[in-house]
Amino acid sequence: MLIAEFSKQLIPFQVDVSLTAKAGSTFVLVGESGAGKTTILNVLSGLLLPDRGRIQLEDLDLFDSERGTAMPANERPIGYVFQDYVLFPHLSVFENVAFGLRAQGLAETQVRRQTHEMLNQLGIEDLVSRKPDRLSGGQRQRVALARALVLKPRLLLLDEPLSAIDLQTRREVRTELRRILANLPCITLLVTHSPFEAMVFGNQVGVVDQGKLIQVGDREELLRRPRSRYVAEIMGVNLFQGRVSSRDATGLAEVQTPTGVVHTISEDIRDETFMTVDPREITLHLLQPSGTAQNVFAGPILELVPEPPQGERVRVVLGTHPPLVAEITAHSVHTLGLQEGMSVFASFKATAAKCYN
Amino acid sequence: MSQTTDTFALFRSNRKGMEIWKVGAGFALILLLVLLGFPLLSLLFRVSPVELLARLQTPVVMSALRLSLITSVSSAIVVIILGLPVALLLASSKFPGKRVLEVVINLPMVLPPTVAGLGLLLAFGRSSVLGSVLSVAGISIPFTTFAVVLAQTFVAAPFFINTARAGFESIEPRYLQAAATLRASPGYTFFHVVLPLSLHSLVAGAAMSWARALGEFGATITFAGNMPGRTQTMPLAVYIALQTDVKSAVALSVILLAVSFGLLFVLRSVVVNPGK
Repeated sequence: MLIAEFSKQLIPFQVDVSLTAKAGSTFVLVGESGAGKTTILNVLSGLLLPDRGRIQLEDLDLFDSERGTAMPANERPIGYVFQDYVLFPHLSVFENVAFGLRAQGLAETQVRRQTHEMLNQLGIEDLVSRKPDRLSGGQRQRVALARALVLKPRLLLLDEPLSAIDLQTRREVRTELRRILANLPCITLLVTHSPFEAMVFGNQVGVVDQGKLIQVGDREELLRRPRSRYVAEIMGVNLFQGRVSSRDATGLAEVQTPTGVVHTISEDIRDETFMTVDPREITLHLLQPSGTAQNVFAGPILELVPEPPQGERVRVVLGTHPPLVAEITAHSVHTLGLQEGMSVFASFKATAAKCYN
Repeated sequence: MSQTTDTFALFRSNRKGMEIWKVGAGFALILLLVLLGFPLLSLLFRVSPVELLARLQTPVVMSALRLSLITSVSSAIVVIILGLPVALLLASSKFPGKRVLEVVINLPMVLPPTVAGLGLLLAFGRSSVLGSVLSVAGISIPFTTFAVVLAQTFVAAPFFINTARAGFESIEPRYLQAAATLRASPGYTFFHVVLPLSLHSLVAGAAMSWARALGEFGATITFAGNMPGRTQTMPLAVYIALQTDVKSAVALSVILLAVSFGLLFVLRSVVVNPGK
């Protein structure tokens, strides 16, 4: 269990954090760059001292401003995988992974055994003698992970673990990282600017804005019940992932997602693509529409969620294929007589499906 | 590791400007080569190799050579041992009076060496407080081999300290942060991260200060005198020999020239620009 409550004054704003994370779980901090996410990791790791507060990791007091105690960074049982990994350039993969063990004065036979075990576990034992500048992004990430995990940390910090990976291999690396993290006994705290990654990795997701943790919850909760416009904006997108099955000269393309076909229009579309649809771009109809919208889906209304503060807008969670969240005015809900369980049609234009890789 | 970009590619694309530039640069290069190269060549061709070897075996030359090697290596070692912590201090922390300390450390680079020698003489001579204390203990520093080492250390130290400091400062702080998160103590981090990552600078700085010590003249002759076998190093021997025996002076000079050339060549190819 990690219990952290602290504040730290930065130049643009004050970082105020209060968070609790359970052992064996992954807590994701999501927010735009410059929101103070890395500062939070630096404070937890001991690289940066907060102005006041208290940080407790299981039975260890890492920081307590009232008692004036702060455990030095190099004594905290915390692993930190930096955004660009920061592997030691003068050391081989083996020496990088063995670094922490050797720094603790472990006997060389122990160092070798544990290092090889860890390299094996992460499938990088064939890289032992390589220098970091001869590794791919994905390999570097594994080495950085191995280097941190070999010390059996009780808390693992990951700062934007995928941002240094090129787009072609990002999905593969992401899948693999998920598999590794799922089997870790320790608490994992992962920082990302991507809502999608937050959804993929987090058991718990905390949204960071201007140094404040403005909402904490599991994925579903954040997606369905955002308590602020900011969270709605970053979490409330309809996100699809799929493969282009056909396209024509005008750029109109058909994308096959695991749960249905979405039409999009884009000049720069790759075979594998992500798409987002703003919930406000989605129109709801009682009868099959016969307009110009390229995307029409039928399905039941699963949930009607009034948006804060006054509920003048309503988020409509739909059981369509693919599943959609629409955002409409309370007035429309009223005039159409929408209710949970009703069958409706949802439509949006091909241009509303924004592609990115 | 990092991508190298050609800063001056744009300049070269301007054909007409390039031609004027080439003529001008060529002219400057020739003038410089005459100024620098001609004296060096004159040294090399003044004495035949056979005679050079013969001159080298005279007692005066041999003892100057031996003394120079011993004193310059000793002072380089002293400079490294004392300079390393100072360089780290300057690179890693801010403290009151840092600016003044920096100036003091760099002063020997611009101070005329004879002034440095005079200062040393006044500080450690019999008339000084320190000197009189030492003389009670039966120790006299001026005009000894130890004085030679002190004089060389005085003038050579800034070369090492500045280069080592620049080396330490060029290390990205994230490597030290990474080491801390891997539970390395500051001491372990210094020896296993900081030293290896700044090794090129440290070697370059040590070599430069050694070369500076080897060539030291003014401070040595002022503070240590000119006693063959005890304080007469190579540069002093060259100066003295010049007044009686030009060929011995040239022989000594050729050796100093060869050592300096070799040192700089190795430095530039191995340390400063590896792989170029």
